[in-house]
Amino acid sequence: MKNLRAPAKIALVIVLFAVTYVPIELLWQRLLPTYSRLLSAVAESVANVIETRGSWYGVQVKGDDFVVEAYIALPGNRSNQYSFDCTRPTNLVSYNIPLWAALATASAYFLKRKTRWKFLLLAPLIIVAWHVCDLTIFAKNARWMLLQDLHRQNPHFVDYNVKWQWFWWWLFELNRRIIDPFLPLLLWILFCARPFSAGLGRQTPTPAHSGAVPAYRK
Amino acid sequence: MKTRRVHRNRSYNRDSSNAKTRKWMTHNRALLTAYLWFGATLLGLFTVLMLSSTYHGVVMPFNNFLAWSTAGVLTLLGGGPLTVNGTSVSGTTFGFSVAEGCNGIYALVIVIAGVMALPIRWSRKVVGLILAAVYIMALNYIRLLTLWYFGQTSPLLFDTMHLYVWEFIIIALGAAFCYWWYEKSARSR
Repeated sequence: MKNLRAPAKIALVIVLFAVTYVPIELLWQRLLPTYSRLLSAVAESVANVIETRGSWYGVQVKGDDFVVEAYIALPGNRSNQYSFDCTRPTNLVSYNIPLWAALATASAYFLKRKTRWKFLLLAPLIIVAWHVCDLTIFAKNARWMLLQDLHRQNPHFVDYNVKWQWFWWWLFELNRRIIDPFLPLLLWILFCARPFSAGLGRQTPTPAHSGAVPAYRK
Repeated sequence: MKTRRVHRNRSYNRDSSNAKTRKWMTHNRALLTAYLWFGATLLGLFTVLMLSSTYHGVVMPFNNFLAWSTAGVLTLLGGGPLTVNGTSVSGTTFGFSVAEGCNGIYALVIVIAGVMALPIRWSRKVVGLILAAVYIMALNYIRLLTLWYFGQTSPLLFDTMHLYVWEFIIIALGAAFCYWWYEKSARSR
């Protein structure tokens, strides 16, 4: 089967993907609560590390949602802080893991050993790391919503971090609409597309003085 | 003397690693250029779509058209009397709204970025872009029609198909289109 032509291989991978996806998704639904708790703990630790002026948000799992609690100290009174909750469903953050698992299962047979190990080990690490980034971006966006909410109640309140919020909103939307659903496929293209593609791979020029005869002179 | 030798070795290592990097860049030039084109087109088009004027001037009218035409096709297929109000289509037992992410534009953006990244002639790229638009829109019509029937059968099935299955089918078929177009264009060169 490894000698099949590339289009036939791709068609077979799509069929195998369709067959394996449903059982993997069902299995993932059982693992999801544990994974979500671990992810929220890591995301909160990351928040404490990357925020140099003290963390202004925390991530918790409440029911089926990640809840990002963003808070801000109100001017004049240090003990008084304003908080805001933003929720993001856990399954929408991590639904690309079963997609990756189904893709890996469907294409593993056709890959070289080295590529297979890369896709099996590196790709999930990148996906999990991106989930932490996802929650961080979401929290940054939550701060924008918190400030808007606070501004509605107290129009004189100004926070100069606001000027970067368009970027976090743009990144959040990019993540939600494109990176989240397409990440497994992008990783598959990065790691595994070569065995399936005839010409998109290496472009090796003939060295000028290597003695190699160009094809048109043979 | 020893120190000088160590220094020479270090400089030799740096040169050889630079040469290795250069060799790697030369060997993978086509692939790197393709990734750059893909990333730049994707981010550029996405940013244009995020603009408020694009949303109100292009995306919303397109969503309204999609809802209206889907209702028309469903009526032709015997879907019963349907009411269209802006982007929402409702029947006697079930209704849905063509939201921003449901119009296939984001999938189209990715396929466009894929076609632009392919190392083929510009004329082939333009034909590829037109074909990609027709293909993704046709797929999205099939998606909306099947979701309508799934929604009437079971809300759980509707959610599963809407959130997980169709999303990936469109991604996979979009990638398959890019692959097919590249193979076809490379053969005709």
